[in-house]
Amino acid sequence: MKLLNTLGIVLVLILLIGCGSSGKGDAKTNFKVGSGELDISFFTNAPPSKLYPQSNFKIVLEIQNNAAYDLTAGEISIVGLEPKYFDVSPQQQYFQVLEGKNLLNPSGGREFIEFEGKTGQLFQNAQNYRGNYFLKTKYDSSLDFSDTICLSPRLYDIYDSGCTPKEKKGYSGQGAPLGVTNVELVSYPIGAGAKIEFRVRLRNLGRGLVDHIQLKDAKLGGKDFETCEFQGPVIDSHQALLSSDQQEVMLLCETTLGSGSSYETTLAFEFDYEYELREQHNLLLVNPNVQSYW
Amino acid sequence: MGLGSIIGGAAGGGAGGTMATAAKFTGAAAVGRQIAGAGKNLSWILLVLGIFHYVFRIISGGNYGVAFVLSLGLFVFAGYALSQRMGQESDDRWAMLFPMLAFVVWYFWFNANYDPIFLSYYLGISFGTMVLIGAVTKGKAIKAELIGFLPVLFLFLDIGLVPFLVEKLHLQITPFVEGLVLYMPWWAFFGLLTLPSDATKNGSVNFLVNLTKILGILYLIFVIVSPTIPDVGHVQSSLPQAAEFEDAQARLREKIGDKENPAVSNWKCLFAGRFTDLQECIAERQLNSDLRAICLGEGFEEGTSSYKKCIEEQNKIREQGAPVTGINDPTITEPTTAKFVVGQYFPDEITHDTGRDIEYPVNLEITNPRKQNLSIEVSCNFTNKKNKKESFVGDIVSEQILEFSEEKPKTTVICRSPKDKALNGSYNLVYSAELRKLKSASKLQRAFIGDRDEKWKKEWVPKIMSAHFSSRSHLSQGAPDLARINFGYGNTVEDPIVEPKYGQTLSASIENIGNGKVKNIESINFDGLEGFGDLQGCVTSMIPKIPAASSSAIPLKTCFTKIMPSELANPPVYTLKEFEATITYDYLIERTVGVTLKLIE
Repeated sequence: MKLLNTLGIVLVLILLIGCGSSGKGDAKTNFKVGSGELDISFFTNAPPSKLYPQSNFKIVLEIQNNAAYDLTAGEISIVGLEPKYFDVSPQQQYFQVLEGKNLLNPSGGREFIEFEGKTGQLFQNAQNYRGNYFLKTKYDSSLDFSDTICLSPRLYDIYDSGCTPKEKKGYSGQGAPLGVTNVELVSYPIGAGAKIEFRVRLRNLGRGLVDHIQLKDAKLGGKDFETCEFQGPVIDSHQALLSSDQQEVMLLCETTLGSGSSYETTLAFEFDYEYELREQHNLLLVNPNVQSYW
Repeated sequence: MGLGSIIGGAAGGGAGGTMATAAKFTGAAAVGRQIAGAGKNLSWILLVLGIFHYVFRIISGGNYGVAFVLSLGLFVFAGYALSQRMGQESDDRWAMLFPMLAFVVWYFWFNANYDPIFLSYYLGISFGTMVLIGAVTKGKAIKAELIGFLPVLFLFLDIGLVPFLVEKLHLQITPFVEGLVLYMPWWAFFGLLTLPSDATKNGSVNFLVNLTKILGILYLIFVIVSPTIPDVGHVQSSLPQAAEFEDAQARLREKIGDKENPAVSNWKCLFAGRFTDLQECIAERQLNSDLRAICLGEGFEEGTSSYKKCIEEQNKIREQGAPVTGINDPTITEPTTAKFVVGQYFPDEITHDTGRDIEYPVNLEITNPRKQNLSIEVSCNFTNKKNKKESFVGDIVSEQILEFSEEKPKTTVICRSPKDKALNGSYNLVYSAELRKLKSASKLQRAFIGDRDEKWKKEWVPKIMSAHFSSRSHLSQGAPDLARINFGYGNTVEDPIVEPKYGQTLSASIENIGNGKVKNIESINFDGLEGFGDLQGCVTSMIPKIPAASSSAIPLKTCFTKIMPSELANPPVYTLKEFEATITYDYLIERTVGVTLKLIE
């Protein structure tokens, strides 16, 4: 009997432990932090470090989505190779969707992309030719931002039993190369209530370039703002166009609060954006008659 | 005076130094020690500041502006420290400012101009001023003047050597030498070098300081010498071997020919009273003398109608504009070359009973890395050194027409003095070899970007330039063969970024690189110009006659088009395209050897 009791306790413990342990796929894991982005690497020896004239080669790219959002309409091009030396075909490859990190796929989507190539002849009796090229990757993706903030419509009330609003809050990213880096809250009284303005700063935190950003949704406590507009170079009030030397933009959203005590509510934004990575690499064509080359 | 002795002279404060020794001899030992002590402190300060400057340069990443200003500050401080070392009893220490000033003016004001003519003037004036200062001070200032070169040397090493070698001399220095220069704390080293031999009271530390000084001097010598050593200092061996210096000098002399010395032109223009347009006058005289030399070299007699016609023709060629330049392809280490080599058994001085049928053998050495089918006709000629009119053709005993297709063929060319001419005395024996149908090619890359807005250009053009057109590679490149075609193409011929909306120009020139003469241009072909209108036909429609005493580059016709293939006019991002130009030509090399024959009486 004693033995049965002991076995029963052990079994219950095993069940409890088994149910409680979830490893990597922990429901509490938040993927939407930091500035993870698309990572591109070359497969070993594809291409080889040295190529010889009139030979075939392959460029195999391993693309890994480290962001927390799906990447769509992906396009990878090889730009700047002189076909006389390196004839790469096709020069452009596509991927439809590359899954972002999530509970079911915590390491993010991964894919191999292949380019076929053939080398030409060296110029006269040259020892080598180094062809620099760009790997240009373009894709669309999205960004969600949400946070709980404190709002206080009665600005003149010094004593308020509720929460204390913060004028400025900083963020380190939402799991994408584009991120909301800070939100400023500016408020002033209107009648019994208050006018509230959110100044949301979006910044490129990745290695590439953000081309344009589209505001898809902006909500405060589940309700739309009265106005929400990008500042600076814009296509329209909901679309910002970023230049290569100004990879930052401000979104201004306004709404009016009625009278009442301070309270906590959610601030949420959804964005779509287009991103481009340009990485420089090179291929080396060497003369087989040159005995040692380094 | 060696570097060590200069430093020793400058830095030798304290018991072992010159200044202290001098102070002892003059009976002012206490003053000498005080000065040496002050100088020692300044050397230590310079050492510390030098280390600070070095660390700052490393950690500041791309902030070269501040590092540069610091370098200049240390340059001035080093001058001051050296002047302090020289001691206050030395009234002429101000003279060390002169070389420092002269360098700064040359480097910054004249942008390190190393044009030989400019340098001869600049160095001449500087040297003259130094001599004058030396004379006025009865030689006392000479030491100070020489010491003034030390901060100059270190400033040059710190900020100027690498850019000078790469940008001015176009040497592709190896990362090894670049590392040696860039990762040396030059000013700290300067401070260390100027420390006296008894820098501290600790004998072991002094020994280490002195050992570091010796190693530092060896390092310094290596850094200065290594860029001239192929495979160590620079990627491509472009420096001649000792034997080739002679040829290089001969080539230079030949290129200058009978052209008026620029200094003479300068004086003549001054005497002619052309003060307001002095530069134009000099350029005019230089051009005229150049044309004169070419036409005289062609064999026309001055004053004749054919001579005038020759001058007119040459003027027309010049009016087409400055010839397009090209560079040596750094990846081609073996060009096509040909030269006569006189062996050690060459009978340059002999005694003979008849002076007839004397055989003179020389080696003809050819480098033919691309295994071209070479056809070479050789000949020889004797000219009496005293009586130039006594000139006669020798007989080639060996094969007169040689044919090779090997990479490094060698043969002996034997010239025999004719039977009917008895040699007696000293002669110039000229060996000639005419190489026929040689081919040399050059390549040129351009990036076609299509019609783009400013935003695109701002983002992409700097990237394209950095990836494909760094370090003069926007110019055409070819092997440094005997002759080469240089060409440029684009909206402007030197701009490697081509946009379809502006129209494009193609310009080319033929450059004589070897020591001989381009005898004939048989054909010019461009590869890659299909779809660009009639650019090829236009450029090759007028192949100029190459003058015998040609200047180094002959321009071809410059042509213009607005047509380009649609795939280049509308590329998806940008397209890199390489053009190739090939010339087929005949080339004459000559070698003059002095021979003396004494008849047995």
